[in-house]
Amino acid sequence: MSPVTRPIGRRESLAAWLVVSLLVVVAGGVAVRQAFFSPAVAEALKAATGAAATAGSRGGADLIPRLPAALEPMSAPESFDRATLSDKINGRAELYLPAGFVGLRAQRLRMRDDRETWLEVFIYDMGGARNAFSVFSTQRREGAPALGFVEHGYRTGNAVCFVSGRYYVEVVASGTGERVTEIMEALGRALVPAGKREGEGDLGESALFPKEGQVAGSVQLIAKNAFSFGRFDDVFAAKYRDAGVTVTLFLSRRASAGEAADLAEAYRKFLLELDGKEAPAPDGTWLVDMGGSFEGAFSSDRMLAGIHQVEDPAAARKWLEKLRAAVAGGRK
Amino acid sequence: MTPPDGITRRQFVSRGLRAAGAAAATWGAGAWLMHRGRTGSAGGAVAQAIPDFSVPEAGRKMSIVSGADRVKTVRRAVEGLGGISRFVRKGDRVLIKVNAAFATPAMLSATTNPGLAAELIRMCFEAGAASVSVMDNPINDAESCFSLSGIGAAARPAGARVILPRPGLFRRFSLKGGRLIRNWPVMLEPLKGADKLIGVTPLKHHNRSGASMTMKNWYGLLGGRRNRFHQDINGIIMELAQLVKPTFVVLDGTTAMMTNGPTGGSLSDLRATNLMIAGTDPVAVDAFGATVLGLKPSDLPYLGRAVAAGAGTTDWRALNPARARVS
Repeated sequence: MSPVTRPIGRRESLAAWLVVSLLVVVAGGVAVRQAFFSPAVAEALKAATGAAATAGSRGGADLIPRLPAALEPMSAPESFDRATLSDKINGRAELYLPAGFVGLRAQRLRMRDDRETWLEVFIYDMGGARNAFSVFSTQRREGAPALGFVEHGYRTGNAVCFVSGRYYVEVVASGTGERVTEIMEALGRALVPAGKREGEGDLGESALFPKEGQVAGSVQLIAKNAFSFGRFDDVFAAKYRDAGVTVTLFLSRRASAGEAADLAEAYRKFLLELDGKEAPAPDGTWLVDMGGSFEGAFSSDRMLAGIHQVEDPAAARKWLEKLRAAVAGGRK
Repeated sequence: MTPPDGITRRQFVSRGLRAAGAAAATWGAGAWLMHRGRTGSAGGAVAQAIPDFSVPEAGRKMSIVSGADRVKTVRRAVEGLGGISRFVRKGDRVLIKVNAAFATPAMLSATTNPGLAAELIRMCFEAGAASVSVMDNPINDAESCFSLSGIGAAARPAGARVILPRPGLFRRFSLKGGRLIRNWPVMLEPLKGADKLIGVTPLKHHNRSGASMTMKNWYGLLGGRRNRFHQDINGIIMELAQLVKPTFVVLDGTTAMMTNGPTGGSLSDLRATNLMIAGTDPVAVDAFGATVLGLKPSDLPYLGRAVAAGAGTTDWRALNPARARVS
């Protein structure tokens, strides 16, 4: 017997179309949602794999376990990593990222006895004491008095900045005055592990700079791209005053004598390509006239050393010789 | 021959095509509805033009005023352009783009001085503005920035509305001929509701671009993960100059941030340069601002690019700026 067939009614057809349409809408919605990956999922995955804390994330362990009694939290601690550092400090992130930045934790604190005055503490994990010194030194405010509780640190009217091991720390206040300075320094001390002074040996080659004439606090470690030369990384620079003129000397310990010699020659060629002209220089060194200032360098075993932006050619030659003597003396 | 299940091949194909057509139509309708309501990182019709807020009859003007009192110097600076009434008419809806990028105190000069913002607001109302709003899309948390910078607390009592960024204010935008601002979320909705647009920002060093002045101030209109533009900072600043044609701009050089910009952090980064600069050509204003930082315009590549793009001139002297000193 043949199966009984009957035509499909209008209501059945309409119901079928509606169901199909609904299914299409649901399927489409799922497809669209899947196409836009939720950042929340990315963050959850990062946490699951134990990766560093994420952008602006709040809470977590106390940022400052020994918070001075004069202060209370004004906001939750924030955390930033390499991908999100610029969300906090914008263009300044470019100073930290090439210098080995690992993470930043920051928090705002309020003074209990003056609630209009607040401080923000920034703790930059630079991955090593040398990196921390680099970002400290390249942002150092000239002439600022040194802090007594760390080797590398200073205070200004509203800020305290210092190196503590692998960390570079800034405490920035919304006001000034003796009380504010006292509290900033107390906070700074609370952030330095008691009795610990890490990293003093990491800056060894900077001791080779001549002592006489050096501008106090001017030694800086340039992590990358020193003097706009892409191959100059890990370069110490220091300023000197000589008869009213400021000169800059630089030093960099390289992996080998060959590398130091190569780099010295590469820098010379770089300057000549920028329309520099060779100038008379002491034996074993070179000097290039950049039309308004002189650059010069030499290598001595693993050390690459030189002068930067010296206006007077006689001063340029004198400082090249002084530096060469200092480097040779330091190797003995 | 009719198959046993009562449906022929023709019927099957016909029904299948109709089902597919219905599915496609439903999908299309859903997609249209979704994209129409969506802004920010997904979808949305891409806008290609924003209003030109310049006042051509005011001409190319610039004004440089020396003095330490911002309230006095900004009034004098705008007078040097022809007066606020030259730019703001009765009934105008004025939008002031401040720099509220960071949650830092006003004394650090990383953000627009609140007193300066308040004075500009008052001036606009004196000229008959129907409404004045201040806006920015800060780098840090917006509420904290407007609060801790003091801008919010200064703007509201002066009568202005503070517009905080939220997704619904952004629209996808492509700058005509732009390479970077392509299908990018831009805070366009407040601009659509305005008749006049004034930019006001502090004069600062910037670690990446060399300086942060009136052209860079428009960075605060961008949404999304805009830090990617740091890779071509000069290019983006040039495109911002092409994007925005303001009524006029104010560059606050009262305490210029000479180093460690754009955030600064120490009072020792600042110098009391005591200048207030206003102008209808942001490129010219920035070119003068460069000299305050000890730079030549040629030291800031984005200036040259902006000139090449027709956004203005670095020859600020050619504008014959009005000069004044206020005690």
